[in-house]
Amino acid sequence: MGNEPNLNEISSFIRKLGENYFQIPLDELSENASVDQILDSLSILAKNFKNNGKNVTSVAEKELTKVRSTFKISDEHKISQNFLRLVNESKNLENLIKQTTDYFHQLSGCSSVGIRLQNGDYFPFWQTRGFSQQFLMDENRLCSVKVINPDKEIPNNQIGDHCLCGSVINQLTDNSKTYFTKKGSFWVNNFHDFLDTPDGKNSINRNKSICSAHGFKSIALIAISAGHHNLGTIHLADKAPGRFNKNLVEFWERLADKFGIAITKFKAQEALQESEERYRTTLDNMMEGCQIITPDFRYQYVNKAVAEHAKLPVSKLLGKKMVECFPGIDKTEVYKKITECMKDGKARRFDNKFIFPDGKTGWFELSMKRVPEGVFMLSIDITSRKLAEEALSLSEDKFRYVFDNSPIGKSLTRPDGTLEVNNTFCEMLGYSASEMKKLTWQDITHPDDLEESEKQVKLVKNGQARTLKLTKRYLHKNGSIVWTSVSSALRKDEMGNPLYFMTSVNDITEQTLSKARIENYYRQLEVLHNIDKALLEAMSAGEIANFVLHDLRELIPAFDRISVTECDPLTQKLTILAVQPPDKSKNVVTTYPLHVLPEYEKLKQGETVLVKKIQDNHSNNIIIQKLLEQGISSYCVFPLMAEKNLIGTLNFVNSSPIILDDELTTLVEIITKQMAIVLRQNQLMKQIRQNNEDLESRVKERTKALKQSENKYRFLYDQAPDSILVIDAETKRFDSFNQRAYKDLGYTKEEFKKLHIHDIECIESEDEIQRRMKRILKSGTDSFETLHKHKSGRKLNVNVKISLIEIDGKKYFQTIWTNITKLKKTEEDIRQLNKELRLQQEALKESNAELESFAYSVSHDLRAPLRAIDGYTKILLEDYGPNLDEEAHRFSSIIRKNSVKMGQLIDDLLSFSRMGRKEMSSQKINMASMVRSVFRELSTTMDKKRIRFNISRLPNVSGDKNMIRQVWVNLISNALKFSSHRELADIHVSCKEDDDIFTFSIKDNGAGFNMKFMDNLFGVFQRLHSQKEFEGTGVGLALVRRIIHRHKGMVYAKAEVDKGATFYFTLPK
Amino acid sequence: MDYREYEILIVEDSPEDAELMIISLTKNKVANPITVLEDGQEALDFIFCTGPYSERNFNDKPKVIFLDLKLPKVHGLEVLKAIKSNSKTSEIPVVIVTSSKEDPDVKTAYHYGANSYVVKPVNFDEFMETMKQIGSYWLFINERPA
Repeated sequence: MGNEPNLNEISSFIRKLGENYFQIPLDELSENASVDQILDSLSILAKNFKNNGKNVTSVAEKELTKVRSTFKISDEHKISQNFLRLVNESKNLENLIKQTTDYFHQLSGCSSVGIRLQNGDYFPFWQTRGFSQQFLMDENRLCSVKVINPDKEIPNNQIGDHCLCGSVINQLTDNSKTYFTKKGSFWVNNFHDFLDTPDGKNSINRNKSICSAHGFKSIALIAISAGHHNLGTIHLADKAPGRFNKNLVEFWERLADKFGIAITKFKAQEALQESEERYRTTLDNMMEGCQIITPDFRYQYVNKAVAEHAKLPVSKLLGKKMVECFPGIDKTEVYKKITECMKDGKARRFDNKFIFPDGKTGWFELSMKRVPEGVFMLSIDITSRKLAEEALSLSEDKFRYVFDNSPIGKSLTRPDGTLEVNNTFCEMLGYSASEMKKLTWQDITHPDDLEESEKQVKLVKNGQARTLKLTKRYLHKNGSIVWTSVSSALRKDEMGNPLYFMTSVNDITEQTLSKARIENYYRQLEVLHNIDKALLEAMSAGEIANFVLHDLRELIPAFDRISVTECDPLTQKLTILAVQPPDKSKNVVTTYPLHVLPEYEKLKQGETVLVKKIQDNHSNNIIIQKLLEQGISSYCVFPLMAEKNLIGTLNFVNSSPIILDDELTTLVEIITKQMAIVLRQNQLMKQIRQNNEDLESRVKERTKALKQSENKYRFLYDQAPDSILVIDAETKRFDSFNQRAYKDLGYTKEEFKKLHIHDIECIESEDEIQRRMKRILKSGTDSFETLHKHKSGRKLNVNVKISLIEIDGKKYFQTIWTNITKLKKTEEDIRQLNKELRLQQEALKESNAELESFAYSVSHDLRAPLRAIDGYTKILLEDYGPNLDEEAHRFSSIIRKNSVKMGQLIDDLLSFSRMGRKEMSSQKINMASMVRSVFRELSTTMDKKRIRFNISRLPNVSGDKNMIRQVWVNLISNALKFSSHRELADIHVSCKEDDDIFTFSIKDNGAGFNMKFMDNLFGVFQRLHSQKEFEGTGVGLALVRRIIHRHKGMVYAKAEVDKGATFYFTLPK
Repeated sequence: MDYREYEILIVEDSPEDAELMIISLTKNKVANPITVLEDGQEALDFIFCTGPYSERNFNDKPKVIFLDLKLPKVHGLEVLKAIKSNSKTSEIPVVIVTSSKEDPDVKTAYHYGANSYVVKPVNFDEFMETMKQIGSYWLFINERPA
């Protein structure tokens, strides 16, 4: 740059200034002196001779300013770099400001440098160099925010009213004034001069200028801003005047910008650090364990709580793998969950049981969540809670166990009477636990003990008694009484309200009853003895019943009434034998129809009927009605059984519910058995007497009847279609026999009587007969076929059945035989016929097989020569044609025509033969559509014009589709062929339906035939027309017949020469 | 032996039929060399290079075999079965050319893997036409694996 001042010129100027005006040699200012040397020299001049002439000073000031501005600006690039380095090397904001202050102090050359930065509402000095303490105190006091930042807007013309620092900091500078820069900084080179100006005066009219008071002449307040926001100011102050110019201030402003950016950056960093620090501290000190597990299962972060949970210091956890810290943790559920969480990223929360390496158990509620570093896990130690829960459940278990398994009945009885009971109590009363839940203690208490129990309960409830102790009876589910010793205490809540009775129940039935039982036993014996006595004395049924009831009533006084009835199934009557106590009313009815007995069906089966409370719906029953009238509400009926028959009943009736206990049941069972025997005995005796009377008169009648019957049987015996012979098992002689036995064998009765069994037996020897008889003596019966000898020597086939019978202790063989000679002969004939048939079948099979192989040979061997004949003739004609005359040609073509015809014959014959052998399948056939399609195939367009083809309604049939189609092909092609000479051929297909067959017919108006030849019509190779008339091989109709026969049908035809023919075939339905 | 001598193999016991087949093929512009074998055993020996044909190169395979069924010594179906059940020969097209229309024969032949089944017509004109068609199909139209 051309106008840039030359350092050498400046040096020489200063040197001259020193020598000429101040007499100070400035030797160091030689040529190429550095800026610093120049500055130093100038300072020396300035310090030592500040009083020396205004001219000199102002000249020097000018020069100096020039020099300063020059070098600062020229080195700006380097300075920026230095400053940036400084920024980079700073550790934190404070350090940055300190370093910067030092640097600015050195860089500015000003005696005093300070940096003010915002702190909340204030802008205090953060770092200063060269300012006195007094200055700083004064300045800080003056520039409190209240003073410099009033709420009201400051008009532009009054800007000087306020401290200049405030104007700069609050960005309230007036650009039109020379001492303010555009960017809002302030500078002056001589504050005294400035204060003399109107602006200066205005600015200090209330406050003394502190700067001036401290003797500062050159002052620059450089705004540090970040964007539009002011961060603070750089104070540059020097007691020498003229230190600044506009360029220099702008340079400082640029530097301040850089400084502002650095501050902002450091502030942000610190804020971040601070917030991080805050969070980390929070995490570190949280009650909950916080940890971050990396994807390779290392502890990346753990807080103190985790260390506590883990029982390991943080340092032993950080960076370590989980398995290193807790071997085997990789097999646990929590490890699995972490793995899953890493995979699916889903947050989870669950309780985890953790076994420490020392074997102790810890419970943790874990929440995990995937974070960029891995999985973040929050753990809350719930060990104590879990243990408490476990302990609670354990103690509950213990209590429950003791309660349930106590050998003494236990019950918690709630104020409403409902119970919670243990197994022993349930068993004691025969109820299941669930049944017990539905009952109250009142339900199971014996009615007689209810009052006393309630009284005792009340006493305890009212606090008059602490516990309850009594002997009471419970009712077993089966109605029996359970004697118990009960003790109970009431548990109350804090308010004194009853919670439940805790009751112990001891079953003392055994003790209580054993005494009574012995007494009862003797009484029972007595009653039973009395019953036996009654039996021996053969009293009447009524007397016995009365007798028994009397005793029984002594034994069981608890019932209102006891009665005994007798049931007679013959007369269907129920008789009351005895009632205790006796019914004193008039018109006592003692006989009822049997069916009024309540639950008669049950009683008949021997079941006891117990009704604790009679329901009104029984009231149509006469007995129940009567009971209700008498105020009876409960009854019990015991059946008296003899040989499984109900012969009577023992009845208890009562006004309160009857309860049957084991003891009573046993007693009654014994008595009823005994009574049943007695009653039965009585009945039998009565019967015997009656029977004896009957018997005599009956015997007479019987004898007469027997005589008649005997005659009838004798007749049947003799005339039976089978021979009957009774042989004495001991003597083996004939004991008796019927007519058929001897007549069939040609003997008289007298002759037959003398015979032995071996006289008539043909097959078995005498020994064999003996052995058979021995067998029958063991097995009882026998049957076999053998031959019997006729008196004439002829042998008869017989089927013999023998059974061992016993008459009056003597054993006989009852021998019955049937003559089966005729049957045998027929059987033999059938066998013979079957044998012949089988032979024929085999022959037929053989011939079929032969035929098959014959057909196969024909197919191959006959066709080959034909092909040769035709082939060679053709070649002959082609290759040697020109050498042959016309006649040779004619012969050749005859040869060819015949060979082809023979080929056709062979094919037809083969298909005929095949048709006989082919396996048939049965399908449903739509006849109408089959006939139509066959006709379409066989007829040419020409034909169709000439032919009237008519189909009546045809039924569907079942058969082999291919075969039936072949039938229609042959029949229709015949019809077409034989009517081909007609100008208008008329073909009609129809069907007639009978009971079990369909008869199909096809009629044409063609050549017809003479019925004389009818028999030849369906034979193979049989033709009724010459080849000249109609071509053909004579196989078609034979094939039709074969197919129809295979379908179990028939074929026939009717025709007249030149009038046409009708072919019929039938198919079974 | 030059393989060209047997691009077409005719197994046929009737010399007349064989000749007629050759004439039919020749007249229908089939110039491929033809070898005639007279019975089933000879056919097997030839194809599998045994007996009198043990010197033959097994890898020279015919383009097509016309095989009659009713053959002396070994039945045509047996020959077919032997060819088709051997993986080295199963690719050779075998056309059954026979007089038999018997159903079981047709079924068995296809079961064993016959490529075609043709009944020789008695009429020589039809016979020529048939031979022309099967000859041109198997020799000119049909593609075989390389």
